Amino acid sequence: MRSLFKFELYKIFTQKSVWITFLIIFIGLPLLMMFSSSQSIGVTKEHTKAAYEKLEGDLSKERITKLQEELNEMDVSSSTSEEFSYRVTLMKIISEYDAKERINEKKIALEQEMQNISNASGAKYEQLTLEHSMLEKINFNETTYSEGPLGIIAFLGVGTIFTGILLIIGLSTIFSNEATTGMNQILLSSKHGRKKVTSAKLFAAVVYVTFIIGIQFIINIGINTMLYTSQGWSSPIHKLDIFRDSPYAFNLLEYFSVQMMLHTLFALGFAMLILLISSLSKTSVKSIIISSILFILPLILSSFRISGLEDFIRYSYYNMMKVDEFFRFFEVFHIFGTPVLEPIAASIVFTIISIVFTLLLYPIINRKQVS
Amino acid sequence: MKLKVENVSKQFKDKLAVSNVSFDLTEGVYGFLGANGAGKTTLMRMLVTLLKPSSGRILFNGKDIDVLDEKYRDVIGYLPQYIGLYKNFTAEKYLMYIASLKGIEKEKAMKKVDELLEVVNLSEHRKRKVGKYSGGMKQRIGIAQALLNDPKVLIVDEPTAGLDPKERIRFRNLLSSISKDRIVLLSTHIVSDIEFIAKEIIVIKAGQLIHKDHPESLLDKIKDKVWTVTVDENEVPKFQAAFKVGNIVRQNDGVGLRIIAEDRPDARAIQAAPNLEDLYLYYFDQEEMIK
Repeated sequence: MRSLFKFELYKIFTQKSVWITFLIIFIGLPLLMMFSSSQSIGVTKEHTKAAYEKLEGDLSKERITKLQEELNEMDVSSSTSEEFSYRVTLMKIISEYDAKERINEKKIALEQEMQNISNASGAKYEQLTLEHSMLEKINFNETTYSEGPLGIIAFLGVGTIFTGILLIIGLSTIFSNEATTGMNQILLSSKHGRKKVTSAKLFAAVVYVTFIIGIQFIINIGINTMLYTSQGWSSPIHKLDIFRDSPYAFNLLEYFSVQMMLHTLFALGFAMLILLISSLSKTSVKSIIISSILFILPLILSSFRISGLEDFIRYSYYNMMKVDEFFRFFEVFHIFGTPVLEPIAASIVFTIISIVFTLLLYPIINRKQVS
Repeated sequence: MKLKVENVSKQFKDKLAVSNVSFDLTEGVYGFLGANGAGKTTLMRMLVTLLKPSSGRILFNGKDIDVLDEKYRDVIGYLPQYIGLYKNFTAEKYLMYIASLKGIEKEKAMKKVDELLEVVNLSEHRKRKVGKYSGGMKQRIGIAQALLNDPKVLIVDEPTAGLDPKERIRFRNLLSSISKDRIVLLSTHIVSDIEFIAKEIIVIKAGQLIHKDHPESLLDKIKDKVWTVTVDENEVPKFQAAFKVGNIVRQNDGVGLRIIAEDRPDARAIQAAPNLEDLYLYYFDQEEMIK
């Protein structure tokens, strides 16, 4: 089994297409990140850091009022890069305070709603209690420089596309290539060519997924830390625009840990789907095309905002691997009357689906015929 | 040891590729003769579990091979008609991979790989990528992989295609020497491959078993149907149109024809002793035959 696993790993990692894509992405990616960091119009990372050093502190009403006054008094016509960076930082901090206020307003609204509900043990009441208790835990009382962690977290927007491409290129041919090369005749007529080889391919796919994510992790952390420093991991996720209405009381480090865990989980799930498609495809081209459509289609459709397709897009592998959509708003599923948070429910459901895909591989390969 | 094919049929959509075939195989070499599309490969694929019979069953030592599953696949060696290879694997790595698939332990596999590379005359090229091999070399590596697990049942589909005459003889002798305690089923168009080593010949036509018998007995069935005649060159087309003509040999006094016919094809014709090529011609179309 161990030697079969090594051979399967060797087969994945000796595909020229994998290495070409690796090189394009992992040489191009750091260059792109460094290039884009120096190209933000008017705002430089050095001046932003300097502005935060002056402005970081508590997000109290009194302080924000002063900052607002300072912003209003600023001369917007003559603006050096330093002044522009300072002004943008001021606006960011004020908007952070707005987010904090929105959280407080939401808590009050929930409390009123809870009071209006007569049945204090109903599902709706439980849902409101859950959301309220989550909002209670959010600690967004001060602001600090967090550009490094923010960049690291935001990376997955593009990183997910890289993961998807590398998974499709590396794994789509894992079974279908045996048919394309004619090797399936030898494999399927050999002692371990059905069950054990399937397990070996599965383990090799898991290692490949981990490798891809690991490499991206290193590049992401390395480049962002180098560009922006690693300060600010303890800031709440609400510093990021997309999480302004999030009920989750994560700091950036906690969110990044969850993000990587879920990204890996859903990437593994997508890998299992690719393997399943590969096992059912007679040619590698067919397998690559089907897997690519399943990954890219929701991404394309999301830009058209077609009604009725929201759930299809929301629970697509691309969207789930990106993770952030699950943590933007309070979303629950009621399972046996108990509200379960969407990320938890989605993780459980997709883990089950992935296990089913994995288990399906065995009977498919076991019954495979060569005609 | 016995491999029993029991009323086996295989249907592909609207085509019946193999129709109710039954035969038994015991230790020794069996030649499998049939034209293209006769159902040889389909039957062989069923024998190596690549295809499941639509009806009937295949038994190995009395047990259904479908039930035996891995235990059966452990005792078979198979060389398909078109050998599958990983182009970026060296010969050595390729054989080590197949050894893993066959469940052979690493140490034993390394020895066996050395031994077989020697047998198929590829030791010098063991570190070369198989993608760069010639057709004949690919076929030889295919033969080596089929023998890796010392199979009790060896099934080889057109094994000598692409081999030069020297390699063909070498392979024929190899099969002959290992067939003492195993079942070898060899499908070929090259009748000389099986002429001297086959214990029995299985003739299949349009998915049906026509004959399964010793070569001598099969040849005996056509002993009055083979004729030789020397004719004028311009008469050749007339004979080709009217009869199954095998060998055509240019001679000093005309053209010598070997004809398969129920009755004397010409007053000048004389009877000849049949061989397996004649047998093949008798049952199959002339263009299918390769000497």
